Amino acid sequence: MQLFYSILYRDLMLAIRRRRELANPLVFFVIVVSLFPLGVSPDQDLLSKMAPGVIWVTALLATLMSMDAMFRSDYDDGSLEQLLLLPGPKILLIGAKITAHWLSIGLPLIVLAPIMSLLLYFPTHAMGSLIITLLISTPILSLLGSVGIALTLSLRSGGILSSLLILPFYIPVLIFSTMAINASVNSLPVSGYYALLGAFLIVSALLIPFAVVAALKVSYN
Amino acid sequence: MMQFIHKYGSPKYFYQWSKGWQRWLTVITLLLLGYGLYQGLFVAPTDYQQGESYRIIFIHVPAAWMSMFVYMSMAVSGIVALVWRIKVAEIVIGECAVIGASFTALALITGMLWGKPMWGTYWVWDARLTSELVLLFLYFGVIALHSAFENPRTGARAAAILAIVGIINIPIIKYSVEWWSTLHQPATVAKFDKPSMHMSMLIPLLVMAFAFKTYFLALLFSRTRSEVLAREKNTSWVKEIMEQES
Amino acid sequence: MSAIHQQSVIQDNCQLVAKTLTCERGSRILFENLEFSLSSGQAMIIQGSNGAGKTSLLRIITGLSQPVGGIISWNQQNIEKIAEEFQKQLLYIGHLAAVKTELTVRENLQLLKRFWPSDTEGSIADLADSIGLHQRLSVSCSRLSAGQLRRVSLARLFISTQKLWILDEPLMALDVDFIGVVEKCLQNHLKSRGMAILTTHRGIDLGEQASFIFDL
Repeated sequence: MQLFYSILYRDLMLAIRRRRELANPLVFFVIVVSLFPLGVSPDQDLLSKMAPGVIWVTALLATLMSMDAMFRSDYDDGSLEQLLLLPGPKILLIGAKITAHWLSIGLPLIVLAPIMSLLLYFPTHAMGSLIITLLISTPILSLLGSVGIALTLSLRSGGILSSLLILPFYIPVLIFSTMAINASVNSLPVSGYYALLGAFLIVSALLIPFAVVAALKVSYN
Repeated sequence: MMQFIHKYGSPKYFYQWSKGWQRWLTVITLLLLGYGLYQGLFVAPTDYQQGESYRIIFIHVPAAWMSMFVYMSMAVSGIVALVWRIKVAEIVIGECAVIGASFTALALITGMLWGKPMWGTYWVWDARLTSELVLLFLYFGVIALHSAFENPRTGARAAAILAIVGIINIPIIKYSVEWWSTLHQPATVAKFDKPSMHMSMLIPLLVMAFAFKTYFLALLFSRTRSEVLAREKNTSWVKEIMEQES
Repeated sequence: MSAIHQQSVIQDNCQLVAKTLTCERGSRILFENLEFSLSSGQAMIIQGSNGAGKTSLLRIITGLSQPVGGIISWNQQNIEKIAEEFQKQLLYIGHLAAVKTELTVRENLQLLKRFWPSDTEGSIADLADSIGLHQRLSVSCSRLSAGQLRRVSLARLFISTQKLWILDEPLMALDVDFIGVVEKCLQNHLKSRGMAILTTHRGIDLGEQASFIFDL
């Protein structure tokens, strides 16, 4: 566990130093969400109906954009190979890096999304469900995204390719999250959706780090 | 077990034993396809609701079944390639991805053609069509990753990991898409669920499904064999074969 | 002979053996059936032309990449089987400096000490002193020269408790003074029964310590 905290500390320290770079996906999120009323129509009914989908699709894309930060610079400057040579379970190393990524991207998104949803006339009584789905699902996005990034690390154009690999895997997260929000908008019970998302989170958290370790091995061969 | 896998998976031995298999599978495929198509297109009765257009199911349904089956085969050979580092299994992954994507595309196209008379539009966001579409995206991912690496062995291993992660995700994706479509689907859209199918339709359908399986295997053997030759072109056994042939 | 006694003998007298190593890059074979053995107190200097596979060999020895064929064993055990134990004894410094340029020299050294704890009780200032950067502790590493970056990454040599050092071109970009320091450090390591495998384009002076050249 010492290893986990050390890596987490290191990655968060680096994230703070790189905060301008990290802010880019968040700015992207804000801009893209505000493009929808311009592209579709400023109609209040239509926008409030589209709001959960728009927020979630944009959040997926913003997370994908930030994914490169998890391993890329460590791979390029040789730090990642040093981290992989640390004695200790590699799972902890991967887990710490994914946690750090979530803290530096997922968490700010959870703060930004409710604010942006107001621009789309999202009904405030369902705000709780928006925040809860983001809270459960953004870690899943970080987890699934880490596999794509780890697989394409040794490729020059890895960023765009990894988005292609990962987006289909994001579909269940998108479906369950937006369905939960829509249920909440219509004052229907939502706990079932939370349970499903929670189960998906647990399964991903248990299995994905192993896939990432295997993927990094391939990238280093 | 280990010895068995290594023996049958060694490129040279694989090339030898697969030759006979490929020939017989091709013959069986042709026979089954001929019988199945004849029965399906000419002998099976016209559907009282859908008329003649339903006959596309003899292509559509087996193709849709194959799209999933090939993904499974790809993931299994991925496990074999990762665990035992069998060269032939690595090649099979790439070939499966291409063949599987073709089956998936075939299922989608025939589904759309069928949809036009059925629904009045080519595309409906129905659970099965949507799942097939997502499956096609997954295949694209595997193909893109596989071909992105200069070293084909690294590409195969990366694709194997992706395929294995995919196989765990597919049930979740399928389930979520089905659920999503039951909530969104307006009641006017007809569902295909046919609890009882007449034997004269069912038998050609099963024959076609079997024909598609043997076709897949025959194609897989043929593609894998030529890829084995290309990869091993610098080894002595391939050179010997080349000399014999010329 | 008791098992405990045997254990202590092994601990003091480590051995790294490579058998029938084969490495491919693409479809080209870099080397085939390579064999060597290295014991405590010895250094192996790998020489070979560009592209001969020096770096590939080093990476295989660390376990970062796997050979197409052959085994590497550490004290008669396959390194893939005892990865954790082997990594405890391993110090690898590759081509890339593994220095975070967003951080200052002090922060980088702190991270080094955090990840690779050592017995020596030296402070960060002492460590900076031994790499000659004590006056630049608060400088961001993005403003260091190539040679200075190299010094930061070599700082691990001065606090190392690991038995086996694997160094890829350790003298690259260093000035004459610091090359002397690194050589001295290597000699001390070998004197205290350590082992080293390194590649270098220019000669390296290991004093009276046992070393042999391995041509690739």
